Amino acid sequence: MKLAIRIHSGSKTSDHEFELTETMEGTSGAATRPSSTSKISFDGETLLADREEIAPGVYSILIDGRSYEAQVSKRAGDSEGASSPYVVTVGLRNYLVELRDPRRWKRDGSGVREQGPQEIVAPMPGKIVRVLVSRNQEVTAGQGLLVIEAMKMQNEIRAPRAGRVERIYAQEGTGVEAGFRLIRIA
Amino acid sequence: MFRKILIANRGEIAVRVMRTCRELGIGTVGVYSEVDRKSLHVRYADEAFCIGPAPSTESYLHIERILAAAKRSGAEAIHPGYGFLAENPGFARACADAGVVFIGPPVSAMELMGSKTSARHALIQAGLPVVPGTDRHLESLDETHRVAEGIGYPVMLKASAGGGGKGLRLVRSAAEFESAYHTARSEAQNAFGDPAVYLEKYLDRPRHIEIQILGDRHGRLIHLGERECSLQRRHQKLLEECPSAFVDGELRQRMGETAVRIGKLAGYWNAGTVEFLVDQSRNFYFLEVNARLQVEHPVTELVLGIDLVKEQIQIAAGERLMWRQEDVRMRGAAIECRVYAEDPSNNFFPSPGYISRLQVPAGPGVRRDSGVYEGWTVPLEYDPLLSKVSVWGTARAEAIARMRRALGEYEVLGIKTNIPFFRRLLEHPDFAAGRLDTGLIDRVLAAGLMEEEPPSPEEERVAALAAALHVRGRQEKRIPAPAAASAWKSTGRDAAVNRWPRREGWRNG
Repeated sequence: MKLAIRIHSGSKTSDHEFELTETMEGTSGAATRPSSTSKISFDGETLLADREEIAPGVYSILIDGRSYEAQVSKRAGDSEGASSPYVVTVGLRNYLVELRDPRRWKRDGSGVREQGPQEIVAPMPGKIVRVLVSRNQEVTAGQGLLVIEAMKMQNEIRAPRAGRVERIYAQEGTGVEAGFRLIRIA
Repeated sequence: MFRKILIANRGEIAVRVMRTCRELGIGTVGVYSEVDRKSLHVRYADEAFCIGPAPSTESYLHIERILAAAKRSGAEAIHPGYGFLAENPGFARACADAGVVFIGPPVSAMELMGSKTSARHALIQAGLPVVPGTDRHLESLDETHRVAEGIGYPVMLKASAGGGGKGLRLVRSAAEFESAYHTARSEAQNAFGDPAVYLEKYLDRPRHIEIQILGDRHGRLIHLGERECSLQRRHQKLLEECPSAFVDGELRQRMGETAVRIGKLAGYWNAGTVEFLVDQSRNFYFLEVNARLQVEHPVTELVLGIDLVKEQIQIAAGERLMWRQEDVRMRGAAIECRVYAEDPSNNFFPSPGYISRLQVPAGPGVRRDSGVYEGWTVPLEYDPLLSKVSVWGTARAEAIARMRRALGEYEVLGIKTNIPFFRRLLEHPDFAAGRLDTGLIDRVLAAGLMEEEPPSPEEERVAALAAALHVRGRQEKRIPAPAAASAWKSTGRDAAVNRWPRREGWRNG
């Protein structure tokens, strides 16, 4: 499988060519090379990685004997499936990994969009206790939009960028699930 | 001694109290709300009774239902844990009326010390040091605003009935006042059923250090040294230590004696905590008395070798304290980290939900007090505290190394926790050097503690491989029989369910 991979780590974003090939199982090499070995090509460099899925979403990976554990998950509110990025935790670092078939690559990124409308979604389940803005109001980046109460704490949801409040989906006093649309900023 | 005790709480603290009961051969009665049927404390208890729906006011704060469960089970005493009804004198009185022993301080001491304003007032009368501020509830926005101007910004708005960081707001300027006032009152109303707030001067970079006190019903009251609780976020403690790196023998003695004086002033017995703010010149000011067992009590237990819950139960049963002040010896150093269901890489938003995987730390010097298990769903109705990891070492440096190791072993999947935050905090030079104050966490977060470190090229390869394996594995599960047609050509459902093409399509890409 051949992929274009975009990795976000902190403020850095990098694009890579990636190819994953399974080594042949049941060949003469099977006795010395376990069937869980993957051959990967990363920007043209080839390496062998022994990998096991320890638990759903947890991978133990040995590269030349060096042992890593990687946890793969989704960000709150992102959809399942490969169209949204994965958060991969390796050691103390989080990598946001976008996978694309190279022929489908679109340079739309996944971070804060500067242009066009943006939907603000609930980062966790909870109850809307206050909506702090009104329709058509201009907001600045970091301005409080609404307050969600969950686990006994009130959490202010802030605007990721400046813009105009185009729609308000959230209603005071109602419950929301993680990923529910709250407000649209244009 | 009691034969059966009801624990009027949930989560890790309910399990913690039951553990000591079991060691003492005392039967345990748990209570639970409808959403807590599968909670660990219900499974651990010898008997358990449902006391109502999820909202605390209908269950864990519902005095009649808890007492009915006590009556039905024949429990002779009630341990309230912390939070909920632990510092509610009305509950302690209702227990006495129902002929059940309340495991805690006398009602009179709870009444005097439970309200921060009356406690402040009593201390000022006795000439003991308090933080400048009001010693009464403030009635209106206008009055509160006027008083704030008088004390001078920054000021702290606090819930009179409060604790645990709820109903607390720092106000740095007049412009922030009105919104902070409303938020503090609304949080106080929701958390404690009482919106009353008062004001205090906000000290610059103070430490929060508290003294554990323990007294029996026969007039002996001692202190058990200090806990360093300066590491807080939104006024909620995150990491506590015993002893404090800042406190020497002389300061410990002065603070300890003051705490004992305050306890005696209140006619206190059982376990309690006297909280102080300590400024950079080692002046200390009384903050409040927590008339209950504290969340962070394990660090004291580890360093002193005393089971505080056992002491509480024995004191409530009328036994004499077996410790004299001179018997109290501190040995080594302990640290506790409070593991919360919250996402440190997304503004610490709460993260309730299903725990799909749980691998817990163990090994030398590690203690874990937990209320969760793998396969359990963390409800969104209650506190986000999942567990507490405490470690003991011969000295602070060993304890820090041990905590780093323990948190590296701790794996929780399905929900987010603040473990990654602790792992970074423990590496921070100010923490390692013991340069702590109540603003440190906010400063290190603002300085980018949770920002990603420079990526490591090999980790990027590992991350890419893991993500690719993950996607492929998920697809094999979802689409079991590989279709002959290429995914590129399929339309409709396939494309809608999964915008990701199948393996066959990628090979010759």
